[in-house]
Order: sequence, then C-alpha cells, then structure tokens
Amino acid sequence: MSHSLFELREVTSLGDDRREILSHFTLALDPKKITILVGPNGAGKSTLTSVLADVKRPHSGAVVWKSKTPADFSREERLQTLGYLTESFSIEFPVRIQDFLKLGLILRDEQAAPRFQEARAHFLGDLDLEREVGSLSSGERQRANLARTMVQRPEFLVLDEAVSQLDPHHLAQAREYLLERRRQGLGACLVTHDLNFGLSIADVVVSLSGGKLRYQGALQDWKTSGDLDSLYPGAKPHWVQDPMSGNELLVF
Amino acid sequence: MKSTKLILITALLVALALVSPFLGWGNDWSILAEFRIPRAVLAFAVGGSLALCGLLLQLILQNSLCEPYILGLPAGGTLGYIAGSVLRIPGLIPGFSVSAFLGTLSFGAIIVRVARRESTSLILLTGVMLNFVGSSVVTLWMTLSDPSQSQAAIRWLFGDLSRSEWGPTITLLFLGLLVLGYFWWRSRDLDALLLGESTARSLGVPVQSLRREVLFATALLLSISVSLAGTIGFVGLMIPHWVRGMVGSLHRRSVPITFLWGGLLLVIADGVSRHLFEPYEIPIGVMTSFIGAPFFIYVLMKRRGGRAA
Repeated sequence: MSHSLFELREVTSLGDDRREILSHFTLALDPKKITILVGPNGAGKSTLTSVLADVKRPHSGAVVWKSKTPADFSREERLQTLGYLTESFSIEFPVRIQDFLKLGLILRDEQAAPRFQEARAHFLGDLDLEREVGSLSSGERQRANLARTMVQRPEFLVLDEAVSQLDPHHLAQAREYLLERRRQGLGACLVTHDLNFGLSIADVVVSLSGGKLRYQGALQDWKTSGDLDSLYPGAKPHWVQDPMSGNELLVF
Repeated sequence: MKSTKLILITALLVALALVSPFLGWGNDWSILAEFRIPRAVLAFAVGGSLALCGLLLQLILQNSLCEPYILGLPAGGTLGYIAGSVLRIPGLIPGFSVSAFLGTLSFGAIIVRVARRESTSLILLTGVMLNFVGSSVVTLWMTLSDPSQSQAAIRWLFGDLSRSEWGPTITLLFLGLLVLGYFWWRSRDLDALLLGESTARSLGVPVQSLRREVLFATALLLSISVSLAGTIGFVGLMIPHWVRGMVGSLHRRSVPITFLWGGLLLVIADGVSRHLFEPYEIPIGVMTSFIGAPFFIYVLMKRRGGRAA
C-alpha cells in the first residue's frame, strides 16, 4: 500500500520573508481517496498543496510520489500522475478555450477526442470554445480549468480553492466529477473553505494550523474528535441536519 | 480559412520586401548587389531576430508590454560594445562581440530578477533606467572620442542598417534561424508557459532552465543586432502582438511566423525610410519608434481596460 502514497516528509517551507510556513511537516495521502485540508487562514494549506504538487520547492525535507521523487518522473508519467489547480490564474496572452484545454499536455488524437467531448459536456456546455480564456469570468475560468484536468486525466488531483467561484449547478457538476473519479480509484486532495462541499465528498480530513499538522483521520472520526471545536478560534461550529436530504451540515 | 489569410499576408509582405531594395535612385546592378541587397538581408535578419526576442521575452516575463528596447537590453549591448572596443576585446566570429553579449546578458538578468517579484510598472521603469545608463555612456563616449566616431554613436542610438557586411549578416541570420528552430522544437513547453509559471511547473515544464535558455538566446541575437544595426525599438513589441492576433498564441505557428514577418516588415520599413524624404534617409529606429510608441500606449490602455472589466 505504502508504495503508492503521495507524501511530504519532514517538509519545511519558507515564505518570501523567510518565515516558516510549514515546519517539519509529514503527511501521507492515499491516492485513491478524497482528502480535504482544513484550517484557518494562514495555516499553510496553499503552501502544502503547492509543495505536494512539486510547484514550490521546499526549504528542507522531501516530496515523495509513489516512493519516487517527482524529478524521477518523465514528463508523460508526471502528467498521468498528478494535476494541480489553483483558485485563479491570469492569462496574459490570447488563447482560445479549445487550445487552452490541451496546453502542455501530451495526447494522441484518438485519446484527445473522447476526453474533449466529456470535458465539454461536463463543464463547458454553454461556452463557445473559440472564445478567448482571457474574456471568461472567474467562475468560467474555474470551469475551463476543471475541464482541462478532465483532458489531462491524472491519477491524483490537487485542488487549491479551485471550485470557489462556481455557481450551484457547476459546483454539483464538480462534486459529481470528483466522486466519479473516486469510483474509478482516482483520488484528490482539496483545500476549500466551503466545508460543506468538501465534507460531502471527503473520505479523509487533514487539519492544520500554524504550519503544523493537527489531525488526520477518516471523516467520521474527525467529526467526533473535537478537533473542529478549537480549529477556528472564535467560531462556534455545530452540526445540523438538513431536513430535505437528511445530511449533516456544518454551521458556524 | 485562416491559413489562406496567413498565406496571403505573407505573400504580400514578401512582394513588398522584394520591391524594397529597388526603391530610390540609381537602380543599376552594382548598387543593388553591393549595397541594397546586403542591406535588405541585414534588415531581414535584424527584424526577424528582434521580433522573435520580443515574443520570447514577453512569454518568460509573462507580460505582453515587454520588448527588448523598452527593457533596455540593447543599452546593455551598446555598453558592452563600447567597453569592448575601448579595451580592444576581440570578437570570436564576425559580428559577434563578447562584451556586447555579456552586457546584454547582464541587463537581461537584472530585468528577469526584477520581474520575478515586481509589477509591470516596475519592470518597465527598470528598463527606462537601464536605457538611461546606456545612452549616458554613449554620450560620454561621444564627448570623449574624436568627432568621426560621433556618427557611429548616432547609429547606435537611432538604428542604422546602411553599414551591412556579408559576414556578420550571415552570422546573425544563421543564429536567428538556429534559435527559431530550437524554440520551435520546444513549442510545447512554451505553450504550457502561456498558463503561467506555476501551472507550467505542475505540468512538468522546467521553467527555470527555459527562462535561462531564452535569456541566453535573446542576449546572443540582440548583442549581434546592436553591433550591426544599433538600437531599433518596438519591432519586438508590435510583431508578436500582430502575429498572436492573427494566428493565436500557440508557438508552433507563432515562433516561425514572428521571425518571418518581423524580418519582412523591417525590410519594407527600411525601404520606406530610405525613400520617403529622399535624398535624406530617416534612421530606421526613428521610424519604428514613431509607429511603435503610440502602439505601446494603445496596448497599455487596452490591457488596463481588460483588467478593469
């Protein structure tokens, strides 16, 4: 089992001002499950995801993907292994949506066509693919970005607030997309402040504050662990039952 | 349909560029062979190189307002060139000056460093300051050296294609095509960089080494261009914009077309600058700045509008 994990080992990461954002952080994520990262602003969640995705180099410690370092992956293997999305991106140059979907990817035509269809149906239904990405609203950009991961189809997705601007319909589409991936054994790690969205699909909860791990465990265990009570100082979290669906919702 | 348009524009540019050497007085064969044709080839090599450098610099700095001249890179080349001729540092191959290359490279490194942390306005202001350094050194050199050299100084400041020699011209053209070929081959990596630095990294693009390669290649081409033809501004701003608008940003197309159109347009512009106020010749850099500076303001305003919306 352990050979397939995505891990941070004793990772310390520094900000521009040399302040420690993560300090000696060790974490192992199951690539077949959906993990949600929770914690107050400044806890180090975004830094954690960017280090995990090998976008930001840690100051010390190691990032391990399936018992190898990311540098050992060929470009093609890497694209198949991990996808990374952030909340927003600015695009300086004119790029059409249909080109945007395959930028930087290595795809054969026969692979690309069905994935394009799927991505379009799921996230881009009402958008003209000839439009330039720069002209899209922030929510539409997030949809285009999610569609891009559908074309890339990596084993593991790292999403940093990547669904924060979606309308309710597309948020439901995103939930369906992540759950369908999980049914196929493809997991994700997501940072979101929309806890009810995150908790509705998560298998595992990781909480952190001040650059240190507080809790890691299955969703049900976390709910009863008491971790949440002190996670957001000043907030008073409690669970209520939604009379329509019967699901438990978190209210502050 | 788009390809037809592309071919038509290219054909038109080629036709105009072929006419360009014949503009002006005295079209006998010896003048053409000895002056006009080498000059046109030099204009093509310089125009193509400047445009391609503009495209690549805009990409690695993630900023469509960047351009070699605005960033002050030719000033680094000029500085190095003057230092080289004062200290008598020999060139290795025709047209190539080691000191001009190092000058351009170090100015480029300063810009890249600033661009990593700072906003557009600070990048551009740094470019303005580097240009001040360059022009004050040229002025100093002009003041200290004998009057016969001041013609050369003017040439650096405003650009001049009239002193073409085959050897250095062919060097520039060859290296320009080499750089074109290399970055065409790496067009997938360049494409990923359109998504921004962190996304490109997550897709496995070695952003840092790519940036170094662009810096090295542009310093090489710019230093030779400056040694041969002085400072010709805004070609690297206008051509990439135009090409991206026409064929999109994907580099399989935009890299070769930028070089081709940049080269052809400078040949045409040179013909016009020779012919317009005959017998006086407008320095080519004056001509490109005359069109380019308003264009820069246009792009700036369009960009701000886009950001606000």
